Amino acid sequence: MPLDALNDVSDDALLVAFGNGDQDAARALTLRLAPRVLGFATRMLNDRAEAEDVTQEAMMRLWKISGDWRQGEAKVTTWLYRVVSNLCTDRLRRRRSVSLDAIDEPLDETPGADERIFQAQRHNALEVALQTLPDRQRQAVVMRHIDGLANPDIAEILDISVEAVESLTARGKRALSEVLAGQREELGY
Amino acid sequence: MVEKNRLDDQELDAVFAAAAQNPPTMSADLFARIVQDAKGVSADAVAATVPATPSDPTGFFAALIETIGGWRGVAGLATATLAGVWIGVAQPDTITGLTGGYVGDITYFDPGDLIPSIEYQLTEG
Repeated sequence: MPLDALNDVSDDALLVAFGNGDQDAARALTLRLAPRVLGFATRMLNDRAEAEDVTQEAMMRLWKISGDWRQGEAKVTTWLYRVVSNLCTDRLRRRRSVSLDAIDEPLDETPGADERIFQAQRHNALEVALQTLPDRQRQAVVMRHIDGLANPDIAEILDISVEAVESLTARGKRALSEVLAGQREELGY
Repeated sequence: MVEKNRLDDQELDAVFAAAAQNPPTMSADLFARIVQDAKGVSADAVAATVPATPSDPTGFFAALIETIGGWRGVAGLATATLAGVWIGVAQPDTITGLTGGYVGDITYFDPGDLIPSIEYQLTEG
């Protein structure tokens, strides 16, 4: 079956299909989920190679539970984010030094690209500023404000209450706004 | 009033949007590794569920041999079978030798020897 024909199929259904041996379902799930968790892992670990390892490990665990997956009981994304979050936390505990090196982002210098330059600089500045947050605040802020997950899902992923998620994101946002305040001009404000 | 020491919510949301609009791309190599892992998991799942084929004779006979106590049991069964055949065709005095006199001479049994009361029953009308 062509992969684009699977666009309307839910994550749940794709995972069950893979559990029954459908390799196209695995490819579709990989295209759909892996970039998201790779982005989250990259922002958590600030290391592309480590983030790829975590992403591959998390997807492997997903493949292994596919045979036992029951549709409608849990969200695949929530389950996967939880695995990635825990894997990242494990790695962060093993290394306590936080790198503040900026992630390389090529700036668009074509004529009339001021707004695009500001976009790139905002992105770059955010990636650096995120690394100044405590791990839990960074996880909550990335999931809520970049990956667009809902607070109840984040609560399930981090195994905390919704109120605790709101507290983490509020404190994380405040800390980021203070870190980024000194770069108003570069950010185009 | 704009706080100079902080970005306001609108400014911060724009920063978040810039990040959200530039998701990291997955390399072709990572995609291939993940998909290959999926194939491996599927292959392992299939291998774990394939039963022994019905035409496999070792499956049936292996179970049979196991039931009678392994190859030692088979050897004992064969010995007992041969002994039974030999006893059946051998002469009585040979059997007496075999039993070492335990049973005594076995030449002839009168029904009365086996069932003493039968003579009375046979002679009665």
